[in-house]
Amino acid sequence: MRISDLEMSQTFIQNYNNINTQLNTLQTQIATGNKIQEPSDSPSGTASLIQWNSQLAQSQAYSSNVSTASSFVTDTTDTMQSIQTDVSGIMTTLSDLGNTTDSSNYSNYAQQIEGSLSDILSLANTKSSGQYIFGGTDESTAPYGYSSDNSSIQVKSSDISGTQVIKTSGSTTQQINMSGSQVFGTIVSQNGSIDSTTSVGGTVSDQSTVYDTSGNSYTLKVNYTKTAADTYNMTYDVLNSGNTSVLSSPPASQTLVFNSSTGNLQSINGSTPTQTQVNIPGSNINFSLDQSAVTEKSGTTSLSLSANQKTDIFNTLIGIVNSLKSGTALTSDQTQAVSDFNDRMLDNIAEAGNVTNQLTNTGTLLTSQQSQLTDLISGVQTVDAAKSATELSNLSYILNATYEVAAKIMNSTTLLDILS
Amino acid sequence: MAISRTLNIAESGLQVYQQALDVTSNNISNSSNTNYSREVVNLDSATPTSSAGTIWGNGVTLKSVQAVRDTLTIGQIITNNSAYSYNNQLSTELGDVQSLFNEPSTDTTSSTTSVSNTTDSLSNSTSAFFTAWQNLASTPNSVSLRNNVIQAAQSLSNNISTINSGISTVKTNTSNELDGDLTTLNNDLTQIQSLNAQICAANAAGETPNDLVDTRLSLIKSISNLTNVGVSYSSAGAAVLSIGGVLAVDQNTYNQFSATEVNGKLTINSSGSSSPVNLSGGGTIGAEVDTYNTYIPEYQTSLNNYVNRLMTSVNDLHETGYSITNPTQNGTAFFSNYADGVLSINPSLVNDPNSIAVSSDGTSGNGDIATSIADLANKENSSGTTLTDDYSSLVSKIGTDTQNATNQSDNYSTLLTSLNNQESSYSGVSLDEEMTNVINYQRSYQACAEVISTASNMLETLINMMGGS
Repeated sequence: MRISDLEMSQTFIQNYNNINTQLNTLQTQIATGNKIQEPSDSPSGTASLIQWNSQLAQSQAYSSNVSTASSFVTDTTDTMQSIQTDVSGIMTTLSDLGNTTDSSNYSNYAQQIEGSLSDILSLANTKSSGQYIFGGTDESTAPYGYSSDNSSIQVKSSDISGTQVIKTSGSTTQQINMSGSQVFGTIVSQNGSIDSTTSVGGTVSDQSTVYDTSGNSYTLKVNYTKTAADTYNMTYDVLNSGNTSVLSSPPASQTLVFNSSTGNLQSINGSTPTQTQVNIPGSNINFSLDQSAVTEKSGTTSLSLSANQKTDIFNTLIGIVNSLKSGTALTSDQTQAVSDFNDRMLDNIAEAGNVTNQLTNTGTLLTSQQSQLTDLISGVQTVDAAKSATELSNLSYILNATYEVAAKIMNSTTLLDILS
Repeated sequence: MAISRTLNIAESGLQVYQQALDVTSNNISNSSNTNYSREVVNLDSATPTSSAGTIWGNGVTLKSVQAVRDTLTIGQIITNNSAYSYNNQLSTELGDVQSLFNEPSTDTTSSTTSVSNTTDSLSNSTSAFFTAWQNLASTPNSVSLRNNVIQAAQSLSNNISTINSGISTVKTNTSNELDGDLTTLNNDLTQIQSLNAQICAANAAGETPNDLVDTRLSLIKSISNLTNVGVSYSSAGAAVLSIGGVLAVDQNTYNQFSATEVNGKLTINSSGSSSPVNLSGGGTIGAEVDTYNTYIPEYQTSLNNYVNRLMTSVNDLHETGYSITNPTQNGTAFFSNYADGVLSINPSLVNDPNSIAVSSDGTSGNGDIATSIADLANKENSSGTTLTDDYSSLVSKIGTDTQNATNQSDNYSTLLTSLNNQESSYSGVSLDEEMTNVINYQRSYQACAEVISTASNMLETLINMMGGS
């Protein structure tokens, strides 16, 4: 084959450029530690990296949620333990009271209990990272406070039953707060079942006694009017002893839908069933109506309403203090109410502990998930240092060889040299 | 036979070998000229004469000086030049676009620990935006976290604006490059027409205008870098070029090409055609037209779809939520609009972060809307794709197009190297070969001179003999 002189130099330049291009790519990869510098280096790898980075960012956000929630739940647990300590102290005081017949000391006991009450009230309004721990989802005001005449303690915020929920994965959530109604409030539960054969337009009712903060009784009436198969409009009313409604205006009806197969309550107003907060400040009445247990069954309607307590712990304690100050011995109901609340607090502390455990487990899972994602990203993106070093050495060797060959060929003796 | 005949024959040798040395000298002078085709001297015996029953040779003549060209290889080079230049230019243009996205992002922590800056990738700023919502969901009434959402949205908006602005710049640069290439094309065509005229005139005069043909071939190769070009030759020796199915130049005329923008797309016009000329698919001009008319609009559409989907999804949820202002507000859009490449945040939210609607029920501690918005990144639409899918598909598409163009460019480069070597092997100057010719011609010249000297001595002897009588 005929070889021209120009071809020799062009071939060298071509080879030199090829090797230098590879060296430059390798140098950039080693310097940045990344195999993929731009999408065209590996379009599918880039797409995977974007997906994995997005998942990693989301997972890290969930971890952040878990961290924030853990702090909140820890504060909640600490606060409840403090409350429980106060209540435990009150129970000791009440026990001492039971052993004394000298009513002249009642005022001293009243002062002790009043101090504990003040402490409990303060703890009930504790904040964690700017949020009222027991305020539900209403952050506008402290959830509990004295009435204007200081005769009772009322719920001050609009809704203490709200749940604070964080996402811990794409499909799972975790409630992190113990609502005020759960810890301190009165929950009236609707139990039993509604007859599914009830005609459309037919109404079934149930009623129970509820109490204001002073212990005065009222009647809670709940009506369920069937509007369609498995669907009922629920209304309620609270009546005083004169059988007059104490509500300022009739509450909006709620649409309850039952599962046609299981008969369990499926939704309230199209959403997952939640407690209905009934707050009547004018009458010092505050309770939550929990309908999650009511079912629909074929047969006779059998409904029953039951409350977890008559009066909340604050007003129970106010009643105890007032009794002691007036030299009146405590009733067994009053003592039992404190004891019940203490049990309730222990249950709540245990539940908070469970939430803490769940958050810890979730955090561990998320960390593991992030580790796996980081491994995936690293596998596609991170340069294999040993491999790169070998390639660098190889390319350097080839470049040197190319220089040597070019120097020999392009500088070799020609006929011209011989002639001259 | 007369001695003068011997002298004439030797003289023809002197003349021819001097001319042959001229050709060799020209070859050596052009040994580093890549556009030069080496010339070879074709020698022939002079027409013999018959005398006294014998046919006598009359020396040597220079039959022709021929340029050595491999027309088949040259045709392949012209064809593959267009394909190489197209892919090389496309790779550069698309590379400019892909660099605007700054992917793959390497700093994932910036999207989770702080609001990313405007030089960050769009994927990171989008993640940061959704992470800000996720953080706000856990503490809905936090003003600082609400401000974080606004800052993350502004960072996201800045990134989108930067990318859109960058794409516009690439389009403008592409258009400017096209104008420059068309100017080069028009100049080349003008020169070829001029060379055609000179070459045809030389051919008609029986001359061999090798250097002019080389210059013209160089211009044709230059044009093949710019666009797909069809080349044929007239019987008179004129190169007839057609571009985009339109006559570009022949012996007597040449046409000029220009670009105009119609409805956001570049149209190429020729003075030789009333209809637009299709120059896509070949040469740098083709790459510029395709980048401007096809690739960039496709990417812009995908990016706009992505941003519009993000804006609509966020707004749809945000409008159902409630602010923590007094009184609470409902039905407020988070993004006011996306127009001219700019994603605008509702100014009322920027002025008062408490207007961000995070609560689904109006209570200040409810973060349901924030949670739902945070989940949008990986929430599937009716087509089963997520926002992240849409974005990664866009980036992957740009990467694949760029990679294909780069790979094609590399392939054609290798092929062209081989073809150019092949052409150089055939047409390039070998100094050893030329020096061999120099020696041959020099020796022949010396021999002819020696013959003349001998004949001269013979003639002198003859004259002396006559003088002596």
